[in-house]
Amino acid sequence: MNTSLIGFGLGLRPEHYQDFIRAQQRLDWLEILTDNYLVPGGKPLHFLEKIRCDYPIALHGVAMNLGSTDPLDRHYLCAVRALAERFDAALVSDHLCWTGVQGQYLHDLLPLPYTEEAVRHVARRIRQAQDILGRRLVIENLSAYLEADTPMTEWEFLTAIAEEADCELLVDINNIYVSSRNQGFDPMDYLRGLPANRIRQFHLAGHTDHGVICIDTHDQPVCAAVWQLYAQACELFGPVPTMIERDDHIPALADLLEELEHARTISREVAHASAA
Amino acid sequence: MLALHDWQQQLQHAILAGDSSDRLLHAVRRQGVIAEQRVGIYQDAYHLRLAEALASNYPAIAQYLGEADFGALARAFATALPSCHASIRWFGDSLARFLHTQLPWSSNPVLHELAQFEWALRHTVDAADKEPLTVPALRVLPPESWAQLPLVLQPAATILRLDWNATGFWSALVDHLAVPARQYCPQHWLVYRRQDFMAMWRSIGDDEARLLRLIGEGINFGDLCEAMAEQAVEPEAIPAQAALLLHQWVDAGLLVDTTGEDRANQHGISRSKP
Repeated sequence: MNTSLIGFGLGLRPEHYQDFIRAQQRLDWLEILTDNYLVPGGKPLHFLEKIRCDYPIALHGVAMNLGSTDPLDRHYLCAVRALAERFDAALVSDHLCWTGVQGQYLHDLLPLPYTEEAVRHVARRIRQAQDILGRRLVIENLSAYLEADTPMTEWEFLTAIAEEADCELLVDINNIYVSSRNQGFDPMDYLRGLPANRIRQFHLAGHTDHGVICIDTHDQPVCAAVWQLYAQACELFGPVPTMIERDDHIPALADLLEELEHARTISREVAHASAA
Repeated sequence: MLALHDWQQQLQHAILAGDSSDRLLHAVRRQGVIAEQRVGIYQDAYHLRLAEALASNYPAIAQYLGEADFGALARAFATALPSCHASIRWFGDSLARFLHTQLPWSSNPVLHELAQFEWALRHTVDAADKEPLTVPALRVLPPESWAQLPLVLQPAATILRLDWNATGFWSALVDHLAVPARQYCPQHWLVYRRQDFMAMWRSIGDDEARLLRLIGEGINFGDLCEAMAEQAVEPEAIPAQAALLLHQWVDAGLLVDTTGEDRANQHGISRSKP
């Protein structure tokens, strides 16, 4: 079975298990939410075993707690490694965030202050995590609703950590858009500030626009402004494996495949324009 | 600017306690929306997320209490017992105990039993898979090996003792029917899953519950027969009764296949339990 991540994918959700088992679908790979499969057995792993036969799999987690000042959870990381090895995962990603301290978990992706201290701390932990996982980690940027008042920008912070930890990046285009609206920066400055050689994957998703604030809800289609930013990212970075995340109000698989087709079209058109 | 450790302590406290310190608010970048509102987004999201996770594990309780009361329960539970698991899947593992001991919920004894039942059902979804014991595997077991055959319950199985008609409540709630009147009706229940991952449950008698609990503690078939003999009126009928029970459990896929382990032991082969 091919294990590389090339082309276009979707987040695998239980609502679509049967669609993938019944027929081959028009996509190149699937991303699973790691934490939903860190279970002893039963239905989730049973279906994943079957579906994995037909699609390469990427692991995307929310609980590595890489930015926390609590000790690194080695037990959790070993479980992720075992899952990645069992399903021959094409990549393992998690977020540039913390999820709790003092042994408590808030189950949210909480923002880090963009400081040199945090760069050193997080980069050291990513390196430790990579040693335990036996592979390079892929780190995703967040949607943020607040930022610490520091001179460093988010993209400078992300880049400094990626360089110091020697990890790769999952660039969430929607998150850049949401944070740019919430924090008042130009999303193109963000994209131009990223190290192209470390970008391994793009995420696309929908959000809820409340006017003064945007919330990253993953419960609706990708909006026009995010498609536009995606096209600009394709111009800057060339073809990058891209997928759409949907976590709420999950539509029929056919609807998501149609949306993914739009991403394909944008990527193809940008490539043709660049080649011309 | 706060140091990383202080930033995390202050923001976590603000989210959990709903109380933002001046130090935190001064450390937040001022841009459009004021700092209190920005922290408030995380506070609201925290309680919504945990309430959703709890409702996912306890859908009948969520249905029974309704959105507002269930939200209040989720908030009280998360405040009293913040999550200490990396995965949100396990959030709510101690809800039954909380409902049993905390007013106003403890005044309705059905609630904590409903929680026990729903947690057992949830457990059937992703409990460990073990090879089931089958009739063909038993047929080829040498007669001299039967007494030493280890009996092991499937990890997805749970035995409950419920004093109230919590399962009746559950059935009504998932069918969106009116819940029955509260009724004291002590009963043992067996919750398990079939090979096709369908969750199953049935009431069981005192004797069967006692024997299944003994199996849960780790006994072999010979021990089972002895345990049955302790309370038997007709001891000579025990082997047939034990065989019948074993057959029923095997049919239901309740037991783990340990016959290979038995063969390995006979041949002096060292291997771990399946």
